[in-house]
Amino acid sequence: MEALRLSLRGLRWRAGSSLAVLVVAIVAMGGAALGPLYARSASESLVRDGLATSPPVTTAVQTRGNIAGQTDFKPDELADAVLKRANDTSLDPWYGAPTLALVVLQGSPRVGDRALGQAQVGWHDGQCGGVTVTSGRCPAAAGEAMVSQRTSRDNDVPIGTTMQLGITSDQVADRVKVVGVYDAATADPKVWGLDRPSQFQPAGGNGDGPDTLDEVVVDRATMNRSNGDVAAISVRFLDAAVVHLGDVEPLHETVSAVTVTPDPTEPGPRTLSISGLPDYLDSLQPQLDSVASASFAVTAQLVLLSWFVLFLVIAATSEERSGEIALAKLRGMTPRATLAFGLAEPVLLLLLALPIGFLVAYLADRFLTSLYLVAGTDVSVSPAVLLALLVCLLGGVAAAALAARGILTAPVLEQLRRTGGRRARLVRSSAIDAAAVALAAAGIYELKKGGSDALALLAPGLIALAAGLLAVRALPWLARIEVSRTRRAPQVASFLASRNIARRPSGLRIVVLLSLAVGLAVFAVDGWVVSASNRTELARAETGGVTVLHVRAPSPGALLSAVGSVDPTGTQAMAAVENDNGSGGLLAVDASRIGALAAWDPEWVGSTRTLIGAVLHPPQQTSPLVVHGRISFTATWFPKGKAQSPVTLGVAVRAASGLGAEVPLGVLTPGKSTYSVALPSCVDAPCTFTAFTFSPPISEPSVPTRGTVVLGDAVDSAGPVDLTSVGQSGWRSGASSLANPVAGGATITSLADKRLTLDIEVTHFEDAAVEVADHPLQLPVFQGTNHPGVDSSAGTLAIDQVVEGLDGRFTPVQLVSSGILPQLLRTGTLSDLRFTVLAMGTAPNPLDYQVWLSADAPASTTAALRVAGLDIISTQSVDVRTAELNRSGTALALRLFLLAALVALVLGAGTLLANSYVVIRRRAYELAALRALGARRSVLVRAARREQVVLALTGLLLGAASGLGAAAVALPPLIDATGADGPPLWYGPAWLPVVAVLAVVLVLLVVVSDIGARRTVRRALPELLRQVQE
Amino acid sequence: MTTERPTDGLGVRCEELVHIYRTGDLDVVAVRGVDLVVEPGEKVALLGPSGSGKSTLLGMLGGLIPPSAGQVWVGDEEIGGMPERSLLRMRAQRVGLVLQGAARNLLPYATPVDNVRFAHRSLPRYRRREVMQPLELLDALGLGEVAHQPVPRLSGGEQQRVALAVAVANGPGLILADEPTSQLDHPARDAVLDLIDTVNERFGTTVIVVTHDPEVGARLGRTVTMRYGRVGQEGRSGEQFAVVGKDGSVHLPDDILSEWLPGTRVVVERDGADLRLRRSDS
Repeated sequence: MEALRLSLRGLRWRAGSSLAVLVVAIVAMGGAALGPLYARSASESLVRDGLATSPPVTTAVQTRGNIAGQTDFKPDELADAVLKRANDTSLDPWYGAPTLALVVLQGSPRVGDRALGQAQVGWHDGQCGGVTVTSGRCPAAAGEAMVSQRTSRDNDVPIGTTMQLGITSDQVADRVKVVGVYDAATADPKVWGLDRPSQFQPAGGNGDGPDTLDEVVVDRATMNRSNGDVAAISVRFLDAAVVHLGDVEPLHETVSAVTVTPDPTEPGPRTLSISGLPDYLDSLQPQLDSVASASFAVTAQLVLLSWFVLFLVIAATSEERSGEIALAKLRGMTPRATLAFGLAEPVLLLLLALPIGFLVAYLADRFLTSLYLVAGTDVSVSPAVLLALLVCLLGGVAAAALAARGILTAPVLEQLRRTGGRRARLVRSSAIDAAAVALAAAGIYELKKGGSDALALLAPGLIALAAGLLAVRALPWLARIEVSRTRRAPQVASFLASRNIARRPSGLRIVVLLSLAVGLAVFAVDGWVVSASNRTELARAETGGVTVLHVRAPSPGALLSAVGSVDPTGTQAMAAVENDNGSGGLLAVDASRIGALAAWDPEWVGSTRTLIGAVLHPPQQTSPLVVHGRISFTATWFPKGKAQSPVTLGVAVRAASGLGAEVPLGVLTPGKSTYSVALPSCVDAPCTFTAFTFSPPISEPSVPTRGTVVLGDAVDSAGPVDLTSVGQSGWRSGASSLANPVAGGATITSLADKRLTLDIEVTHFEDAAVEVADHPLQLPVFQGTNHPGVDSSAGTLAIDQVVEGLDGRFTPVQLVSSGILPQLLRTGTLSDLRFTVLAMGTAPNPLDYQVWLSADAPASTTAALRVAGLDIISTQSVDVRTAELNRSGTALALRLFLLAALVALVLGAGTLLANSYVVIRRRAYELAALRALGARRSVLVRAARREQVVLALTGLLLGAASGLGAAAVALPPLIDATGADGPPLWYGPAWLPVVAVLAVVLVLLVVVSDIGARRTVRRALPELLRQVQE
Repeated sequence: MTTERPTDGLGVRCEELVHIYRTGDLDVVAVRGVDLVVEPGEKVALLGPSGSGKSTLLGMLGGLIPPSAGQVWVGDEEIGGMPERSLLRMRAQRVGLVLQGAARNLLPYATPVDNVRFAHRSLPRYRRREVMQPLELLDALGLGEVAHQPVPRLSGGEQQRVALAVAVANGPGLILADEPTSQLDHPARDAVLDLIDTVNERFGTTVIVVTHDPEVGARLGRTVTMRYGRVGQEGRSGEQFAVVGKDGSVHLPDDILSEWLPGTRVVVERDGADLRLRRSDS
């Protein structure tokens, strides 16, 4: 206790330097702890963010069983078996209660003889509370059903309608009465699981298939009557909010165990649980590894820096206490007792700094977590935090012991005279220098070979340390030259400053520290700004628009109309449609609006915002040929040659909605015939006439058929139609012939008297067609740099190319240039939506309909789009995507580094200040002697300031150079890791922020140097010398 | 448990003691062949001008400076070749040192009591109970009033006395003090000398004091004057004696030296059992 009391008195007596050491130790401890603390939070955020934003289809556990192949069981028995498996209690900590549904996926409801289409027929546990019944009531008994508003309205199925479901061969059991109508948009996922009752899809292909209707909802008893392929489905949703980092491993194991394929010999119905969660968690691992390696690198550097700083400060305080330690030896204390006495004060400070530093780090992590990480992220203490603190503490004690060692072993009188031991120190420090330089060189070599993230993040510290250590070797040498130069010159301040630098190696440690701190700061700021810029650019490219709404729309044409009606100006909303065909995809955008609206930069494909619209949609001379209701015309057929196969004449029209249809009219017969067809989709609004088609027989082999056909006397419901009004250039051979040039074709030979004369050749392999040239035969497109067929070096198409259009058919395209496309990035095709719609021959595939909104689009736009008939499914935005990317592993790693840099700078400045406090007493005697010899105070202040500024500036410049050098070497692999598929990457340097940081540090250093110089000289009174004598 | 006389005074014996140190490229002989005997319980003042080697001699007696040649005995032990650990033990229990400048001898943030306790730390635990407890010691040495005052608040004289008290805290048989009275006014100087007397008389401690001040030397009884690294004169009870060196050299007293300048030739004549020096006329 007595020893403790004495040490506390000593600390109080040296309050200034004790406080300085304590503060530095707190920052050092805090910095060391913050790395792993934040890394754990970041990892947890990654997991929670990933799970929260993943679609339920990825994270949920779905259990299902089908009646097919096990018809011995009733649907009820199957449902019970599924529910039993789904209720696996091992999932309870993370998963909600299971849903349960019995469904027949392909029911074929009909009303009397009228087939309504295909529809899922199903019962969902809790369905009556899980959807809004807009009229009537929820089915409550066998033989009752409920349909969606759309089905009721579009398919004329009012309440009270009797309907056959098509789920059992028993006509009576299959019959239900519609007792209610529901709003499909209100379906609660907790009831519907991964399904949605909103399932409407128009008929695909040539329009002759059935539409897919929204789900028909029935009672469980009705499902029990089915002898069709009933599936029992149960879903348990992951409650992402309860999952923390520590849960990842058990969660992975549990879900993997639950989803193991069951033994087929088990009695009872066969059921199976599936989940995408284990794969998803595996896919997160690289990001978690990235944060972990960054955490290691950053923590290692911070701990290293902390050791260095503690060594500097404690060495200085130990030196200050050398008189007291000498006293202990004078009194004959044993080396152990002397060591204990020498270490007591620094160890006390370190022990005090440990909990405070931890608390500071904990609070800082909480603050940073709330600021940058996903809400609900836990801040918890991992063993790595305790280890980092322990390593820092032990390092600090070792630094203190090392610093005290020289004092303990020095002869008392030598120690009092502060002489001797320099050669040994020089040898030791040379070994440290050599080790640091070798490590830095090895790090750079490994990086050049393609080293790891951890190495990339370790490099800046190593390089800055090596640069600092080498510089302090050169600095005294340069200072000695300056000493000789100024010895006889009138610049006394310069002479004193250079003399001090030349003879005081301990002061030069500050250069190493500053070089390290500034190097880390420059690297971190440069890395963060450069990578943040790249992430923003990537988000712009990936998202395409500032905000992108994914909507449900009946057709691309309907989407264009709806968007056009909501934003007639074309500056706030744009229609876009993506056909993700698995081979790069096609994104069709409204070219007239993309220049004004896109967040994506047209320069990434070598265009500009002004030009891109015209490039994708060059002006067309041909005006559309419109038809109303019914069309009839005459065809006069002059076959050539003897052997002929029948040729079917057809017309192709496109409804206002954009849906196209080919309608066969009949086989051409020699001579003149009249053909007529009713076009129901062209009654309410006119259609666009797109083509005459000539097809060979499908079912039997045919011989090539040639001849001339004259088409004329066209009339529609509104009156005569002039087929020649589009001009000769307005007609052209059908696109299909270009796609397959070896096949037959159609050539327009005459265009007169409102008649169209064609020479046609129809083969077994290929139709012939003439079409209205209302769009380019080859759509102008941009393609991704890596798209198949693109010669990426030349930016041209290596071969003539077709791409899959919105209708799934191949469409010829003409490559304008290649580059980075919106959303599709380096593969896929970008085209104009209007042209692409015109190029569609048939109904579209299932498509991703989008509305891109500009930054200044009013909030009411979304509501207006709903009113216009678009059902909004989800929303993406550049901001959200940027935030997501900012939470990715590499970004979190670089943020961690930024944090480390901040700590390093605080440590650097703090140590400089602390050092000035600690050395003040020692330097004061020397300066007092100079004052006694007549040196002016102002000269001494100038000399002290100059010395400090030279040291600080050297550290600053070395740090800046090594930080930028490290960034040049280490950043590219880090940046490539996140943005290799995106827009051209920028590797920096980010001059403005770097210079700004350097300027702030410079000002800070000059101020600290000035304060230190003034304080030291102020204490250097000649009376001090008398005290020494006493 | 305390003891009034923890140890008897220790005698000191130097035989042809030499110390050479190196400064730059030069070897400097600070002490050259000193022979000196100090009896147990004796009080001795080492006098001499600056650079005469008296502080170096004191350092060698305290085991702080290893002799380059010769032998130095403290009590029964020859300490010249003693390992550092033994020297530490010697300083902990048998030799008390007071360095020049009172502040150097004291922890500046501690009270006199704390400083005495600090000195006790070098003793084995069982020995700490045997020596005088801090307050008791300070009281005994007339420093009870300042025992709990922080060192910086004490006057120079008080600090010097406390430094002496700390040096005797562990009951040494030998006190070595370097300029304990410099920078002090006469009353303070006398108080320090009184304290030295007290320590010597009460504990029987041998005291060797380095000083410039002849009055201090006179007060201590025996003086040893050093010049150029040698013992030139000794004085006892006010009477001064020249000392014949092993090489036959004799240091003349200062007053004679001022008349007989270096280089003066003298004739040495025997006069019975004595010698007579006469300036040569030629």
